[in-house]
Amino acid sequence: MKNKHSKSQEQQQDHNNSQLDDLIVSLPKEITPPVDLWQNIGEQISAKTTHDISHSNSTSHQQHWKMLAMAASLAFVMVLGWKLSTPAVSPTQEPVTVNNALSNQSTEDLIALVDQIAQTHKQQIAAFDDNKYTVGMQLDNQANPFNKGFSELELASKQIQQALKNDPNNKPVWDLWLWIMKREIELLQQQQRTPINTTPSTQGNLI
Amino acid sequence: MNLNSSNITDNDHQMQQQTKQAELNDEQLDGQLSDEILVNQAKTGDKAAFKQLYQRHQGRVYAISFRLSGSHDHADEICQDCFVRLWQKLDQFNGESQFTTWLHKLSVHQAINSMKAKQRFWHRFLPSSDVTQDAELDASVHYEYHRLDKLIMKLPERTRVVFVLSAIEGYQHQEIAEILNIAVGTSKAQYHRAKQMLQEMLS
Repeated sequence: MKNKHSKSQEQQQDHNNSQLDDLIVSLPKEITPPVDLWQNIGEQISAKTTHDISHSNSTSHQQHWKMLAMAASLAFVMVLGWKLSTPAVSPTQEPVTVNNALSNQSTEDLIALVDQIAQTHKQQIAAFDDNKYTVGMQLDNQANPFNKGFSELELASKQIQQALKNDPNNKPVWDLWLWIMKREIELLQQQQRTPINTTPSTQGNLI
Repeated sequence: MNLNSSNITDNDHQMQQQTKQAELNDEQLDGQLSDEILVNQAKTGDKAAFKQLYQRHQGRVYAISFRLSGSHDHADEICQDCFVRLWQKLDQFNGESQFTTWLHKLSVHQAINSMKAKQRFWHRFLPSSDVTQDAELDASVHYEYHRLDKLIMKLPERTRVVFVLSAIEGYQHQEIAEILNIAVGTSKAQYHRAKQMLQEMLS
């Protein structure tokens, strides 16, 4: 009886083995990405080609985080320095434009553009905020490391926006502002991806 | 004698040209350029050629990224990083091996490095138990999968990685041990664990 049971178990195991082998053989070698990834790749290789940014390896989240922290600190320092050194827009300063398009616009138009971009950005952030419960985000939780980083970026963004409205032809400030806003969006995207608010998994060895 | 030599040389030249033409035809089979030609074009900064390489190999790279990471979001990142890295490293491809083999190795290394970096990053802020992604949840909610892909997602991370590399991608345990910086015995043990778990899931 015992032998019969053991034989049956062996047969079952053989069957499972064979089933697993069949599944491995039938597994497709390719999986189509659910979203088009080329746009991001194209942008990244273009950026690397034109600027040769050796430290922009997006695989390293550690570096990314350091960059965020450094950028936020740099933004504060720049804004503070700018405010202290130039209480008003210097009339002798040569106007520097963001690009050709901006160079053709008046100061008033540029200020309006700043407001317009800020509004659009606010709506993008609000869209993330609307989804926070569905994706498990807890933006009001200050213990969350994302929130701390996001708050710093948000504050920096507002300070730079104000600085830009005072000096809308300042290209470095434009670049910095756009860069900070982009980081804000990326940080929120990262937050959506993180398992930070999920229950601890019982599975999962670490590599 | 000279005339004969000249004839032989001419014939050789003609044959060489015919061979070259045949190679070119092979390379441009079905109106598609070979990987090697596209790589050479991309090396000169031709993004259109590089895009063709991406379109041709994205499915393979994505499959590796997804199965190793167990998450679509992370696979998106890994796949993008792979192609950005590929763009940067194109000059290092010397044609000694097939492009697909070279790209495959690059993809595996990129995926493993990315997973390690992600874990290092989150370990700074979160307890280790929170770091492991809930791959099963991620995998089962929105997408249609092959049955084995669904089961693989249920495996613990290291077990899954070893199984994917060994059973699906055909790596030897020695190679896996080097890639993951673990002992060969550990790789074998994880592989057997994976098989056992999958068999239990199948029964």
